[in-house]
Amino acid sequence: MRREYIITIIVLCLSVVDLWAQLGEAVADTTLTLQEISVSAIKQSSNMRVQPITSTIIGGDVIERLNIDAMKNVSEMAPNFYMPDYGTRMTSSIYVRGLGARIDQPVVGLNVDNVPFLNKDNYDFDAVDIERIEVLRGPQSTLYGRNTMGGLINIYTLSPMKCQGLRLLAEYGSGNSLKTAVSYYTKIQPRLAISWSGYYSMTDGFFDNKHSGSDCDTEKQGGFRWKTQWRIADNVNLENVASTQFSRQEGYPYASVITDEINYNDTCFYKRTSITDGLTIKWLNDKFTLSSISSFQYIDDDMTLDQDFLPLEYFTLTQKRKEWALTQDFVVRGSVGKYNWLGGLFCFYKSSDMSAPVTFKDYGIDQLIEKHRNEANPYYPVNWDDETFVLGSDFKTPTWGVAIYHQSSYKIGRWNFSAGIRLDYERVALDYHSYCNTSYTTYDCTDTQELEKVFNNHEVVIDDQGSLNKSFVELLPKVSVVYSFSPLNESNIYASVSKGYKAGGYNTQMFSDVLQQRIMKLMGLGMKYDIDDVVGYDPEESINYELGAHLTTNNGMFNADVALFYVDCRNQQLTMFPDGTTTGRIMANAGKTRSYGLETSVVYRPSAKWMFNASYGLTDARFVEFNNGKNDYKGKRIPYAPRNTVFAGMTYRQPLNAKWIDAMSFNLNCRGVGSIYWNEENSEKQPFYALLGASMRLEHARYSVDLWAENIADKEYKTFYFVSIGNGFYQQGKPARMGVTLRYNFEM
Amino acid sequence: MKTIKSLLLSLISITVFASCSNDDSEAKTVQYYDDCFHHVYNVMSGEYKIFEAPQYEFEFNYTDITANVKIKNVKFADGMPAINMTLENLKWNISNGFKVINANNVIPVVDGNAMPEYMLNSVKIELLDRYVGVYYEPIVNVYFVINDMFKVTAVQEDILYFGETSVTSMSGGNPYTINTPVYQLSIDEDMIADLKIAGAKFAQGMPSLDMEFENIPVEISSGVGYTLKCESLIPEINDVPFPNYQITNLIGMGTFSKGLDLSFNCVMTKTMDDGSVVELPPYKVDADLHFEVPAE
Repeated sequence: MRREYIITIIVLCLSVVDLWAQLGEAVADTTLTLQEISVSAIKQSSNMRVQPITSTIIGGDVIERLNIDAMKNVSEMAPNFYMPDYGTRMTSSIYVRGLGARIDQPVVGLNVDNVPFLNKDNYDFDAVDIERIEVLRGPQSTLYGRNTMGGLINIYTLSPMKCQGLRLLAEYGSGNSLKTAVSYYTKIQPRLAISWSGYYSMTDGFFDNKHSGSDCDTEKQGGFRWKTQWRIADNVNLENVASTQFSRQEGYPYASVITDEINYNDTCFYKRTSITDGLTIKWLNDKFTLSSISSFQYIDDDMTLDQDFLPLEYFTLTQKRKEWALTQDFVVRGSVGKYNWLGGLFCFYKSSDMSAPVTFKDYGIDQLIEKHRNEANPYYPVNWDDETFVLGSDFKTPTWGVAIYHQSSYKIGRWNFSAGIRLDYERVALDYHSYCNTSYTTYDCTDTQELEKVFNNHEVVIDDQGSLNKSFVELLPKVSVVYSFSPLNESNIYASVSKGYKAGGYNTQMFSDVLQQRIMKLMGLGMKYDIDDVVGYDPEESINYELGAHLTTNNGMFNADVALFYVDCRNQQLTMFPDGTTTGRIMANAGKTRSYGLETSVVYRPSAKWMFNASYGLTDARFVEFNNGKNDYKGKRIPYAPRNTVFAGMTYRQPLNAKWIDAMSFNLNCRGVGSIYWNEENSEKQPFYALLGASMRLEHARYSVDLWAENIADKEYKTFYFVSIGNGFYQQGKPARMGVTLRYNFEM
Repeated sequence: MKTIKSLLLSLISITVFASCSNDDSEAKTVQYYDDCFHHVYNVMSGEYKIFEAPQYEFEFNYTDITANVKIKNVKFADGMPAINMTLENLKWNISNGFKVINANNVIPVVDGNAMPEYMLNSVKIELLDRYVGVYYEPIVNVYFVINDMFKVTAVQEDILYFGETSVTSMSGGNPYTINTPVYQLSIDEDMIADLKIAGAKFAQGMPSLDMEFENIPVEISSGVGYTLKCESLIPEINDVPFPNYQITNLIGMGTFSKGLDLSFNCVMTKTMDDGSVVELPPYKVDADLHFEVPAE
């Protein structure tokens, strides 16, 4: 961005701030509640808006009104936060400020009721009774460590200490989508409260597979949560949240770019069962607070893909995994006068067992192996002896890590200076077993073109086993300064510099490349790569520079946040072609990217009836260095990361005071994103698009009825694009849909 | 088999070295070598004979820098019985990584007796200890002259070479250079060589190939080296002939202690959909090869 533009924007921000200060002092002292007040979070202040953090807080009212029950629904509401809806629950690609990941490690962390989710394949799930969602943008690595390079999402569910009763939900919508939920909140004793929440949903989806003639994005899913909150003593709190969730999905609704049809012949599905339990204990005394957060996570999932997405017998991939993880975080916080401090110790262990066989089928063997080989030697062509064969791969991936961290802040007048540091150590290992047993026959066609004269027969037998391991040490500092305009409200300006990182490890999906090279090597073609070179990668690191402001009028009617950022990302994890080969990718830390932009969001409540909210994010994210051995992408935009995100909403609530209806409210919203480039060459893109949504609510103290509609204009847009064996595919966004949601609360 | 022999040889060498350490006053190593045959050139007749299966035992004394060399199963003429000779107290030194013995007028000991009738007018032995991966793959060059009449060269049967391969397309453009291919030259008693190239590549972006060139005639220059020459051959990949990658004008000039300069052309043809065969611009390949194993 040109310097003069940056200076202009800074001047504008400061002008707005100055104007704001004048406005704020003049308004009445009536206080309006803008959003649900943040409950105490263990590592941060109870109020995000006094922190040097760019965050978006989505409260329960907005969550209900916009039907938010999963993280993908939050996309675009937070500026520069984009989580596209494609594939299955396993695809949880998140892009923040141009940083994102489709492979392996995420760039954004997720905590649910303070429990860290370690595997991004488990990020996409529905939840009921969400109290609030916090989207923190910018590196959070100092306090949260690994894989929070782009930010952090905190989801908090309702507290049984605060609300009691029975909550029922029933919803029906387009695509024959049905959802039901039952929650029961109760105080067993004044200091002991529990809740049980369960839900079930099913949908026929919106897309058909032409080959089978049936729906290909159906889903059945459900979950149960048991939350216990126990105030053991006046200064000791305990919270335990146990949950389980299952999901059964059909298909990946990817359409061919050429035919615009979803048309594939092999089975595609994703099944997942997960169990989590998180135990949080807080002990307070006069001098400090000591918290312990322990968690257990278990995932059992199974993904099967028709990997060519064509009605041809190419190949299929299955990935079955069982993974469990333990985490433990000790946090101590205290203050002495104007000095606040926080220290912590975090450790985790994760173990994953995976089986990922690729089945080559007849047409795939012909096109991907025989054809290339026989073009190279038509005099002695080969013919595979089997119609199908399996390239098997089994993996065990134990990973563990430990970190210590500290943050200090000191207040001088209206200034607050803060610095933090984290030392993070992680070790990851990979035990692999690759196997294959097949054969092919070579024919002598020097005299004839018919496959009659056998020249020889070759066995292709692979039985490779090995172990790899890597260790990483990361030092993650952060410094910030905040200037508050008034000690009475949340208006401030801040600057921060922080480092984030995305963990290194092994990309097991690259093993197909390893085995492909292995087979070619056995046929006398291709190089046998070092496996560590192909699948291993080191951490990716970023430095985030940020200047921002939180602005709030004294009466709370108006909130505005604005931020400018610059992100410098090093050692980016990319796939490359070594030595200019056309086959055989390897993982490499070979890229440098930079992104800069701005984010702004406003919430305006001029009266009790009206609320307006809007957010906008602009990101210019490009490769500074990226040569993958075939092409140089320097200067190109980073794929899958949108340039703009937009959200705007308007809600009007009219009290009616009728017998059965207390109020009627209307909401109109619009969310937009784009442009998005789909590849490093920047040759394919989705232009900017906007989706219109609306809802009408009839509410009573005990119940509400929402009529809602999404993508009212039935806008067509792509959420994903990729190339497989030279063919382009995309997933269409969901069409226009509508539905009705009934909620009933019995207070007890 | 060759691999097993290399492993055994290294194991035996280490064992013997360890056993020799019992004598604290002298440090010695004993190495065995039999991966060769003898090319014997008769100066009088101008002809050569091949005699198989000689066996060498090298004992290097690091204290007084002397060596004893035992050569078993030595023949240099038809009809003569094989003899076992010992060359004693030869001086040796290190040169370019090789253990080198240069000696003149050495009287061998045969069955315990000095045999001046078998005087070795000149003896040159060069031994390079070398590991390729975990395998012991030495380079051994032995040449001696008996009675100014028989020039005996021990021809190593399998040699691994490394180095730079430069490929130039006849259609023009800059040469493509690559250092990763490994060359294995195998010479048999019929003076026919097989050349295997692991990871051969002729162009950027091309998948590498494990090629084998068979039946290359070899000529030995006594005490100097060897020459490979072949007008035309069909390479094999994974034991399958590839007629559309024809190799022409193959010439290799090698010395047993320095390396191999190799060049050849690769003439590629492509079969079109209508069955016609089109010849593509050929590649000229030049390889400057040596024994030094590249660092990983």
